[in-house]
Amino acid sequence: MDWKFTDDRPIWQQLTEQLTLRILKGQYPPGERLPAVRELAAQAGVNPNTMQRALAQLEADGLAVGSRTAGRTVTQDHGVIEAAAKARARAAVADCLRVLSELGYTPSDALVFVKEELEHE
Amino acid sequence: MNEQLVTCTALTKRYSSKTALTGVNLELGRGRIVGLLGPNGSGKTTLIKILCGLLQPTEGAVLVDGSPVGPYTKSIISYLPDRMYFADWMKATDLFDLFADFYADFDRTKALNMCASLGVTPSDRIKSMSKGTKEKVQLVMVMARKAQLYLLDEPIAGVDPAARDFILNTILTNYNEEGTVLLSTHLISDIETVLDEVVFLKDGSVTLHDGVDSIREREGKSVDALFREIFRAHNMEGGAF
Amino acid sequence: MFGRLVKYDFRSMFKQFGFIWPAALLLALVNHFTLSGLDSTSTVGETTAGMAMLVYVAILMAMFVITMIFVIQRFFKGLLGDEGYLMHTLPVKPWQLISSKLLSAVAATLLSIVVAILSILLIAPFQWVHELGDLFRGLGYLFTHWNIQATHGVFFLLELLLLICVGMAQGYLQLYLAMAIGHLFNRNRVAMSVAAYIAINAVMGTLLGVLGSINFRPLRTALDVMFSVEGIAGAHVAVWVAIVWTGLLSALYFFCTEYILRRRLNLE
Repeated sequence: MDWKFTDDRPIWQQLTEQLTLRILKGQYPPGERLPAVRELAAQAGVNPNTMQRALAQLEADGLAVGSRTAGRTVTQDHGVIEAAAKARARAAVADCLRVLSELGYTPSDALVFVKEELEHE
Repeated sequence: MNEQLVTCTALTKRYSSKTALTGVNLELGRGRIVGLLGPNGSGKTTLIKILCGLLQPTEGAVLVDGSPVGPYTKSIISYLPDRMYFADWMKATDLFDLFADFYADFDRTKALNMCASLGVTPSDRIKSMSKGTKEKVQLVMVMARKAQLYLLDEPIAGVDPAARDFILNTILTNYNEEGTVLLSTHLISDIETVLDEVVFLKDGSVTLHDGVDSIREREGKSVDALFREIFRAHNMEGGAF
Repeated sequence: MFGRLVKYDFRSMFKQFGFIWPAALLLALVNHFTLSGLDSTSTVGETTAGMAMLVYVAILMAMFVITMIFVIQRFFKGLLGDEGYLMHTLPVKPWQLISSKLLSAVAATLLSIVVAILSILLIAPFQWVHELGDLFRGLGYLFTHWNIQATHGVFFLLELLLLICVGMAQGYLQLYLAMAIGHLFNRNRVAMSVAAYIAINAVMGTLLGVLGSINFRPLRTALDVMFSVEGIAGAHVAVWVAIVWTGLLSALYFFCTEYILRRRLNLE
């Protein structure tokens, strides 16, 4: 998975989101050591200070534990990961609803769309 | 160790016919990657040359790690000029010997490793190398030092995207983390993510000095977009791009 | 640091002369045999000898041309051109850069002179080790004839050698200063350097004229006393006056060049 950045928001926030996604997807499994700041920065083609800031946010979110010197690992607290995944899912749904409401659909219309989509599959 | 790595006070450089820098005040901290941005002719190269002692300012003062430009500041600055600066008859290894002789912070092993990963044969004569290879050798020499200040003048100008990524990666993976990198460019979009902060130079004056993410946060747009906005008038006059 | 600079300047010197010095000696050796084996009845032999001599003379001339190019290029390109970007960002002082260039320039000239002398000795169709002995004996006779003590003679020769070196340094430093002044201009640097050289000559000429016309009595007396010394002592005094004067000029040129490189460096 490549790193992608949009122009409108700070890079560190986008890094945090993408790192979070990697953890939720299991690309970095619980308990696994995360690559060093410098290595991650080089992978993403960003400044190490920016990556450091993104990782600090991951720590604040409880998804990563450890320190810069000893190296960071993904949390083994499945509760935290699950909560983060749910938050992410809710955000996705909220996004979806926002788009639909811009198109003039109501939340009940949205439910119909979801059901139809599921039947298609 | 001084708190600020670089301090420029009211720096002015006048040539007989034009003024290259007008009253530049600039402070750079340590451990930062700073983009010196501006169109051609905005004074980027002049500022860098003053910092490394190749030009003398007409007015104002420069301090690097608390000292005026001299042998000490030169010993802690690693400079990548916008041209080839070595004698043709040498081999890359001769140049490494020279750097090892003069700079205590030059890491020969690192230079050789970098050559290996860049596909440069250090025992070849410079004369027989292609332009791209010569540039790689120069980049290796500069980045194999554990310097406090790296001054890179247009390191990605005129190279293809693959080479550009490669150069940026080399810089990112090799610079001394306690050191500061000041790199000048007029191509911002591709290197924006690499920078901590940017300095905008316009007609020899600093018009903006801020963090990349604080600019994005405040303006809701990329530094590149902001740059294009600020310098648009300049472009329409038939300037740099 | 200074020693390291000298090391690199000498390396580039040997690189520059690595071919021409051995070539000059080799051709001298070739001429030694073509000349000594010369049979005036054989046109082939004569032509060969003539050709060999021609090539030798050409190489000798090329050697001195290369020496002048070396002296000028090592300063102009090495300190004021693209290579200057490297040299002036090394953690050394400008005076060290200039001294190192000057040292290698004087050394290159002296070595070229030595090679030229050696090559002439090599050509000479006789056993030159033997003849060299005669030369020194001849000098000995001369000293005795002039009633000069051998130590005096040796010192005198050393003083002359010193004068040659200082004179060379003065000439080269004047070139350096002219190039340093020329580089201050943003255009036509070569032409400006030539103009600066001529200007320095004119200024120094005028200065000498002015100095000569000053009637400062103590100086006059001192000069009169100096030139009234006779014999070998007089010769010593004359050489030393010349050395000191040339040395003073060298110092003047050196400090001016150093000032320009330290305070007015202008690499494009």
